[in-house]
Amino acid sequence: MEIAGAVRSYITDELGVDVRAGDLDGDSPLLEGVLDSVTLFRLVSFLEEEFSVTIEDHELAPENFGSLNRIAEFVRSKRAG
Amino acid sequence: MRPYLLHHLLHASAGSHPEAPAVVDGERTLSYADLERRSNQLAQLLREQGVRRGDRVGLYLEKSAASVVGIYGAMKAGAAYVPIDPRAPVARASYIAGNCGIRALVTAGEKAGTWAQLLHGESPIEALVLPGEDAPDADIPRRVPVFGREAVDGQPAEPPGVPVVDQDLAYILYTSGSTGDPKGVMLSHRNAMTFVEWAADLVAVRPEDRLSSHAPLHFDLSIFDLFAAALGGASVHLVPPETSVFPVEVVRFIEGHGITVWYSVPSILSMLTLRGGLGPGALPTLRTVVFAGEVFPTKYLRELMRLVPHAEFLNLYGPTETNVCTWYRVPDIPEDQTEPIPIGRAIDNLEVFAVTDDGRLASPGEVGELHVRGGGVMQGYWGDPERTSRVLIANPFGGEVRDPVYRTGDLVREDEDGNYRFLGRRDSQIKSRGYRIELGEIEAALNGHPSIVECAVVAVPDELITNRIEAYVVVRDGVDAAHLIRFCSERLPSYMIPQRFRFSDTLPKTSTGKIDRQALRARS
Repeated sequence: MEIAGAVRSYITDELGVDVRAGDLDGDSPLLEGVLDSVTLFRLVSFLEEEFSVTIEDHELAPENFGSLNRIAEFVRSKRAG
Repeated sequence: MRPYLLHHLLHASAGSHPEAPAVVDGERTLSYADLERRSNQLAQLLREQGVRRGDRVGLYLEKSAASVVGIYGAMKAGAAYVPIDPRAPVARASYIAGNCGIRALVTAGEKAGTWAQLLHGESPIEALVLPGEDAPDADIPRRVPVFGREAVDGQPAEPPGVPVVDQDLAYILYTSGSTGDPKGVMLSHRNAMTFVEWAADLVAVRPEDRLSSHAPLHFDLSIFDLFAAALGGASVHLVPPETSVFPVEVVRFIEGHGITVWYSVPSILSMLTLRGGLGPGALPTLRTVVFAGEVFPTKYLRELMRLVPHAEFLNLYGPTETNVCTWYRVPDIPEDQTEPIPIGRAIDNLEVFAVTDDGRLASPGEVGELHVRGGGVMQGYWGDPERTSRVLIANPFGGEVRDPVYRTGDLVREDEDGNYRFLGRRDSQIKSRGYRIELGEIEAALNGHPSIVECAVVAVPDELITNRIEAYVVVRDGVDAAHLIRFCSERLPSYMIPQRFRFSDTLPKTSTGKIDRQALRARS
């Protein structure tokens, strides 16, 4: 499954945050009310399991988690590297 | 003069070191002299708008230099400040404003979209003040006046000099209520000062200290951050909410600001331990780590103490109704210990004792409900004498002196060495991320949905955040989880929204016909 789509489903269906799939496009900001420290932790566990990547502490940063597109790009680069 | 009101603490530090930084908010720093003057001017404006001693002034904006000005300005005008979670649904903000009769609201342009809903025909709010910015051009219902920075700046720089005694209310904090509406915990200046004087002394807060302010203003951890700093003449550094999302950013914040005293719920510290990238020599300026609000998982606490060996670690415990009532200095934790650390013993000028189910004082080793008496005990719940009388009782062991004692609802046991241990709750109140939550309030919100036939909300233990919330629902038509999440988010703050909805055809029942929560918890 496409990365951004899988992450979108996870956020809208599993995180208990008030966001509709239709309102969440690739560039919607995730750090203004969608992700907080707790949901970020759960999202990271999901990414590590779902895409078999290991995410380093310093990679938990706005540039990698600011939007669906950034997360997808980040996961792609992890898998390629 | 010996300070006996919270704003006396600011006044004293503004006198002794006016140029020292009081509040650091991003790029913006307010000196003690700035904060004193601006809050005096705000108090003058609030007086001019009819705020009188004993009134309530709401704060409805993100934590900022302006909100700190709002806190002091409200108290100097003789009012109690009422911090409203700026991220809570407007319906909840509106309930709070109506419940305690907020007369003036300190707010900011970022909340302008909510003003129309807040200022409905029944709303008690008579004025909006934006101390940190220009008043926006907005269509305001009922022609409620809006004052911006320039109106505040135009006021006299002296305090209005409203006579206040330390029994007067300083603030009201709204907390989750089991019947569906939040309840307003009334705290006086004396209540707050009992804690602040003890805490500033214990931590030895000095002018060179830099305190973090991580908790939101509607959470009572903020009382330490703001007022222990003011008492000690130290600076308080506001942690931006977006920083708290990323552990490495929190580490960068602490190091960048040279924070010496950190106070937060344990969950953020657990995340720092797990994902903060803390290596040898990290957080060099940090000398004291204080935590409260929930149980700190022992393995993460031990690990954090190993990573930051130069800091002391203090566990504070207490419900909003008493602020902090017990404390414990954490010693080295043995490698094999998994049991949580104790909540410790009473702070100065408070007494705690445990009462058994049959009404006796519990002996060490016996389980009892923790009771608290002394200077920190709240004045009651706003406008709710019935609920107040259930928890504030005449001291059963006081003889002729039947002073009020607060029943915490927390079950504890005293160790032989005099330290208390927290064992659990008597009722269905739970903690998640340090917030206290009545599961009944979430159920009441869900039961307001026309499609819900029945529901039960349960807490599922979680290593990082103490509890996750799950809702079991029986629905009559095809509503989905996303819809219910949206419905909840219009009524409840985000930390009360169930993380998972489980749909089923029926809920298990006990022999007496009640929903069998134990069976549900076993399913989660």
